Parts: sequence; C-alpha cells; structure tokens
Amino acid sequence: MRRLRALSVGAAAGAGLALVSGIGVAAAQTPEELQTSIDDLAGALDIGWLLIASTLVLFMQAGFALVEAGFVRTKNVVNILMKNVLDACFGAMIYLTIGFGLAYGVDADGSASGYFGWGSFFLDGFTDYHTFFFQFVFAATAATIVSGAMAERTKFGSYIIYTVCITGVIYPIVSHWIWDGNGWLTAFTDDPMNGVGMVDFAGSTVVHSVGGWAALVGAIVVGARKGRFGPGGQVTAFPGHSLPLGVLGVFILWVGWYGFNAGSTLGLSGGFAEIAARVAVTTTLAATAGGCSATLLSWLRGGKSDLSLSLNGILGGLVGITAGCATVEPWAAIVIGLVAGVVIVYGVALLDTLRIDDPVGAVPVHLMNGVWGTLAVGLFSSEALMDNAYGVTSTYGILLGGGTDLLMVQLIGILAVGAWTVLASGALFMLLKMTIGLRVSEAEEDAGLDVYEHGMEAYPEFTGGRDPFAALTSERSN
Amino acid sequence: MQKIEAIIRPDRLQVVKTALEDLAHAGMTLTEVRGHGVQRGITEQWRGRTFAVEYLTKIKLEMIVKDSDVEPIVQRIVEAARTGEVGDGKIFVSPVGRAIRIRTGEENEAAL
Repeated sequence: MRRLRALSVGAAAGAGLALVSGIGVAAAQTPEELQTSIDDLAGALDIGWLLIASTLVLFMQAGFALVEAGFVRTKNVVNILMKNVLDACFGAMIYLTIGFGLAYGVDADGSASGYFGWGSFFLDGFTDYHTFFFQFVFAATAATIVSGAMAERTKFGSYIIYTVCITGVIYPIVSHWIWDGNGWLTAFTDDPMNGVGMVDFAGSTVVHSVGGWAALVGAIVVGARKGRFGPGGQVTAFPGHSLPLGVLGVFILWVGWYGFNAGSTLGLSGGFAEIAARVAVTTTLAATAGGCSATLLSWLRGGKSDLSLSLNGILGGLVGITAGCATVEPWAAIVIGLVAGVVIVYGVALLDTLRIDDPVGAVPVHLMNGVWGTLAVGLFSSEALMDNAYGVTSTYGILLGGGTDLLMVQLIGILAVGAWTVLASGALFMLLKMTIGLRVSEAEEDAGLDVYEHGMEAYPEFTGGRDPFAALTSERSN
Repeated sequence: MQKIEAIIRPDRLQVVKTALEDLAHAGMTLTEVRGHGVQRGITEQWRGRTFAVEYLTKIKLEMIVKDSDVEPIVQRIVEAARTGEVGDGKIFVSPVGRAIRIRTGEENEAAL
C-alpha cells in the first residue's frame, strides 16, 4: 500500500515536472538563446515575405499574357500566348544556367567585375534559393515585355532565340550593374557613384526600361504590321479582340506589382515592414493617378474616354513609381502617376506619327515611363526617405533641394542601360533578320499566325477553321 | 404568294417576333447579315485613333405569305422594328413562283 502510494506520487510528480519544464521552457532559456530564436524567426519571416512576393511577381506572367492576348486580333491569340508561356519556361532554364551567374556571381572572395558577375552557374554552391527565385521572376518580367511590341508578325522560333538571350545575358548584365554590390552603378556598396549610386528600388530601369528598349528596337527591326500605316500619314487601327481579357490582365499585373515593389524590401524585419507598407501605398497612388490622367486626357483629346488607354495609363503609373516607390512621399507618387498617364497618351500618338507599330503599348508603358520613373527619383525623393531606405543623406530630389548628385546618377544609368540594351538587342534582332528571318511571310500574316505557326486556333468553335460552315460538318478529318 | 424580306436591327427581333405571333403565318427564316444603307456605318475608336465600321450586324427575316396576309404582316413588322433612328432597316416584297412542303409534297398556298 505504501509503495503503491509512493509510486503514484512519484508518477504524479514526474508528470508534473515534465509539464512544467515543457511550458516553462521560455523561462528556462538564456537571453542569448532567446535572441537566437528571435533572429531565426525574423530570418524566416524575411524569407517568407520574399517567397510570397516572388509568387505574386510570377503571377504577373498571367497578367502580361492576358493583356497581350486581349490587345491582338483573334487569329494571333495562340501565338502571343505561346510566346508568353515560353518566355517563362525557356527563361527559367537559361537564367539558371548563366543568367543568375552573370548577374550575381562572385568568386571565392566575394568580388566580381563592375560590369558582369561570374560564378554560381547552375546555382553551383549557391543555396539562398529565395534570392534566386526572386531574381528569376524579375528576369522573366523583363523578357515578356518584348513579345507585345512585336506581336502579330514575328516568327515564333526567332522570338524564342531572342528571349533566351535577353533573359540569359542582356538583362542579367544590367541587374549586375545596379543591384549587385560589385556593380559599377550600384547603391549597395561602401563608395557608390556620387555618394549615392543609382536608386532603382524595384526596377524602372533594370526591368522595365530594358524590356522597353528591346521592345522598341524589336518593333522597329521587324517592321509595322501590314496595313497599319498608309501613304500620307494614314494610320489604321487594329482593335484587339477582347477588352475583358485586357482588363483582367491589367488588374493581375497591378496585384502582382505589390510583390514587385513591396517585395523589393527583401524582408519585413528590422523596419522593412514599414517600408513595404509605405511602398504599397505609393504604388497604389501612382497606378490610380496614371489611370485617371490617361482617361481624362484621352477623353479630352478624342471626345470619348478610351479603355485601352486607361489600361495603359494604370500600367504606366505602376512602371513610373517602380524606381522611387520607397524614396518618394505619397504626394509625389500621385504626381509621378499623373505624368505617367500623360506620357502614355502622347507616347502612343508619337509612335503612330513615327510609324512604329506597337500593338499593346509596351514602349510607352515600359520604356517611356521606365525612364520617367527613374528620373522622377532624382526629382522627388525626399531627404528623410532617402535616409530611411538607402542610408544616404548627402543628396536627394533636386526639386526638394537635394542637389544634382542623385539626378546625375539616374541620368547616367538611364543612358548606359539604354546604350547597352539597344546595341545588344539591335545586333541580335538584325542577326536574326539576316539569317533565319525575324518576320513571318505576308500570306501568314494575313491568315494569322495561329494556324501556320501552331496549327491551332484560340476559339475553334467560333472561327471554325477559317471555314464558316466547317462547324456544321459532323466528321472532321485530322 | 409573296416573299417578305425584312432587314431589321438585331435588338428589335424579339419585339417583331412577338408582334407577329397572333397572326397565323407559316413561319420565318432568320439570317445574321452585315450591311449598311445610306447611313454608311458608325465610327469607333482604339488607342486614340478612330476607325469606320461600315458593315453593321443586322437580322434578315424572310417569310413566304399568302397575298392577303402581306399588308397586315408588313404593317406589324414596320411598327415593331421602327425606332426612329438611322439604321432601322428596310422591307422588300417580291412575288414567289412556287412553294412546296417537303414532308407532304403539298404545293403553293397549301404549303404555307
């Protein structure tokens, strides 16, 4: 009896001790162990944020695909969707192989040339997977910009060769210059150019102007669609086949942009959550301001509001704020967006006048507003926010009294990136044109690229294989 | 027998069909057509440029009717299809030489 009681008391005491030590673990940890736990948690939070942001940016591929599909004619929809789908697929392969390495590769002591990275090819020896994923989705964004400007007349095979080159070489070099600690333009180094380095928080220049310059060069080299421009300055409109798809695409891009801009804080801990929140606000204000000004301006000019221009205005505002989303105050974000919408409307008209055919407005949205957004950083960045986001106090927006240092670096960066991208993509497009050909035949362009390049149609039940009565036959031959 | 060929606005079709329901008629054939009359179409816009849409979608309604039914049917169609705006359409009446009901072989007015 006594032994049984001792055993049960012992068991109860043992269970009680286990319980206390289980829930009392915190009280038992040393301050150092607690700090490690907190640091671990903060690191995990940062990686988690990057994963979410990267996924949002990857979803922007759907946005690009739908905008481009909506803005082209039915007979070319499959082709433009194929180009968008394969931008991502081939892009991932080449970015893993050489793209990431040229952008961020370093040798054993962590150094690299100011002009290109070298190392980590095939991610060899590199285990910050969240960094690779985040950087890849940005590369994929730059690449997919070009397909829209060259839509409806570009050979599929030639385009794939091009997209592999932009994702593998042209874009990584630019991202190295501006976003790698070894790059010659970067702000992320101890002794940056003009004491500040180029401020391009999420990539108005790095991503959007690179895609935009390539889009412009591509559109010029491949030439305008047949029937677009006639003698005596005549311009013919080719309306897109689905504005609902276009709108859906724009909203998806807009939502994805929160991963693009706010995700560029690269983390939430250590004060970056507040910056990310502020970035979400500036991004929203610029997008909406761009939509408003493009709508109102096109209404004034044309007598009726034009949805296709409103959509471009929203995207233009988003591109315009991408460089300065962390360093401009909300009021400045609105100004940037309003100007972006105006740039869109006049930019689209300018391309018509210059007889450059850009079916989706890729050049006004990504190139013109990419340049505007980068310059706007040098105009509007506030002293407080330059310190908060970049730790720079020596220079800020010139319109706020911050001097010329920042604006000059922005300008140098714009010109350098423009020169590199135009030369590299120009050489490539000319090479493709002279060898395998860049443009489809006239007969193919008339019939539509879908049937000739892919043997399929986007809406076979509506178009019935180009024979309006084919849908009535009960047996179709394969 | 007469053939009534009416080209009307697509959105007036339902009204016209309802208006003809209580008149005993042999049926109608509908075709979706494109065309324009004196109006020459409308103007639309895309990305800051206007363009002409010269061929608008209309519905062509064809009915073969007894001579005595022509006037009431034409009147009903005119009242139902008219909106007063340019683009309301036109009606053409022409004689029909022969009509056959395929199922029974009945001819002419017996086929209607």
